[in-house]
Amino acid sequence: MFLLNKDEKSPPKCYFTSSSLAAYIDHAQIPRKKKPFSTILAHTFTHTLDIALPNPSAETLQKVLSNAKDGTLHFAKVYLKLEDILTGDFFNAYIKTGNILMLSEGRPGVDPVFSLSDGILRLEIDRPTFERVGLEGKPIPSAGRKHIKVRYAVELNLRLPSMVRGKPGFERVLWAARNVLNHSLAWVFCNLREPNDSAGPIAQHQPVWKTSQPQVETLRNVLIPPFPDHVSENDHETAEELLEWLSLVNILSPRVQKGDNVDPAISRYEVPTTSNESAEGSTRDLVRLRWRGFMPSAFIEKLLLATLKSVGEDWYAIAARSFDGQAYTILQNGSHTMTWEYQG
Amino acid sequence: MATQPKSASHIAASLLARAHSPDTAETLLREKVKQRPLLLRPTSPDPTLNARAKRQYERHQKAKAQRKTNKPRPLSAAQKRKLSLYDIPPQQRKYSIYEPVHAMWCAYMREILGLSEGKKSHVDAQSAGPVLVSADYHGALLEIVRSRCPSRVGLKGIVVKDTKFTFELITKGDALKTVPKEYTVFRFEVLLEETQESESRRPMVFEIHGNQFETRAPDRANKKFRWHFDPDL
Repeated sequence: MFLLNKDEKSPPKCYFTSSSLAAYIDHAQIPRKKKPFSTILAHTFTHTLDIALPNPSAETLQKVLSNAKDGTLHFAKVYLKLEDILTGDFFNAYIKTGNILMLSEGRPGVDPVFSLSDGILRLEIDRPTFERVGLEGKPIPSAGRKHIKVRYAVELNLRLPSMVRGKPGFERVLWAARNVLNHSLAWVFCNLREPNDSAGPIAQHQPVWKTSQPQVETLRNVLIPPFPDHVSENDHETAEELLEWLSLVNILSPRVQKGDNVDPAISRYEVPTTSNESAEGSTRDLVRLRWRGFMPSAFIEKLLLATLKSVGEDWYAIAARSFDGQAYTILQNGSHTMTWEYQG
Repeated sequence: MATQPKSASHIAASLLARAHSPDTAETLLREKVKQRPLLLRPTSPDPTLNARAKRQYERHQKAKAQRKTNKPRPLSAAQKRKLSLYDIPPQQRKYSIYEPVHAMWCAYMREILGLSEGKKSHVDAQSAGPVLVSADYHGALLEIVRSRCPSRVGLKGIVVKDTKFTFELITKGDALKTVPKEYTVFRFEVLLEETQESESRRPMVFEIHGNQFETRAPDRANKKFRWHFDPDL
């Protein structure tokens, strides 16, 4: 299309996968390596989740969620220093014996960003800070672009038995936390062991707890394009059209509604229809549930299972965006699953 | 032995007489003791032994003849290491010995920066730069704050030796550490003197880039330094 400027980054990529899911999913043994489950588990820090369903399934889903209380999102915003995480009750209770997820403030790629997931503390810092910190780390690969400042990632597995006060390796980490990375940052915190528990060592840092239910919105008389049973590898058009329609549904755009007469100067979008379908098309009412906050992948997985249970043979779509700029969309119709993974 | 009287028998004769018959003892004494050849040549390969030794000997003689002076050549690095001329012996590797040296160095630093006797209480980069560059760092308490090698960061010690490419520091645990200067930033503090307001005394912190200090201490005193821009920073 357009000529790529030298200054611009490499073009963002979108990976499309078409697969088929088994009819019955055992909730005890979830097939974690298959799409869509593998996509969900690959993104650790998500901030927005949209589920779009036709109306009757949506009501079932909402009932299921309110019974199981799975739909409530519970996380906290807290101001901490890196040293506070590595010492005291916080360290023992949450990192050594518990399971938490934390992300610090900072623009990815510009500011230093610290994240803690599964006991692994990851510090993404630029070169001068990395040389001051004095810990082993690797450069973050930046897709082979020359003349840009390379950033370094230091990964520390805090659950190792050698990461205890008194051991030299851990003492170095503490030294770096006290002398180099000693500023106070805003973090988002999520306790995976006890999601709704507000007590614990975090309480002494005065966290601001946020509990949110999904926002439910309805879009009436939406024209539904035909969902193919199989999308071949070279068929980019179908994949793009479906993604476009799904994105418009997720932002509740009136362009997908039936009888939409908009000035062609503003938009010339038309919902894709097959040639032998009438101009009337099939319309349904759609419901969009939106969660915004800090979501671990386990939360999204539970929602996916609840959606599968309440949808039956109907279709549904899940879209999520994560903190590092990546996003994914899943559309399932019967047993045919389509996944779009966006890495920009 | 030369001091022994000739009339007395050779000590070797009396010893040999104990073990051998008189004839054998006399033969042995004559051949193995009195007429034993003394080797005057050093134990290098004998040039008469084989052709290679002969060639090497000729080559060395030629090189020696071509050499203008016969002055003793300076020691090579391997020879210096073997002789341990410049090593600090283990008994002297104690932090407590160098603490007074450090105190002297602090006073010296204050003097050359012009901070003593309350003459000045502020130092700026332009005026302090040339002074710091030509200063002597033996006895300074340096701490490594930034380095391309992660294991060096955090080392703190008193300088006992300042060579062209390294600093030798003695740490509080009485360990002698040799730290290369390249790609390393060292930090040291200069405390202002005790005055009436000693509560508000805060040390002045200086950071020096090892890359620019890669010269021998005596050479640095006379060298003129230009302002460099380091693209690595």
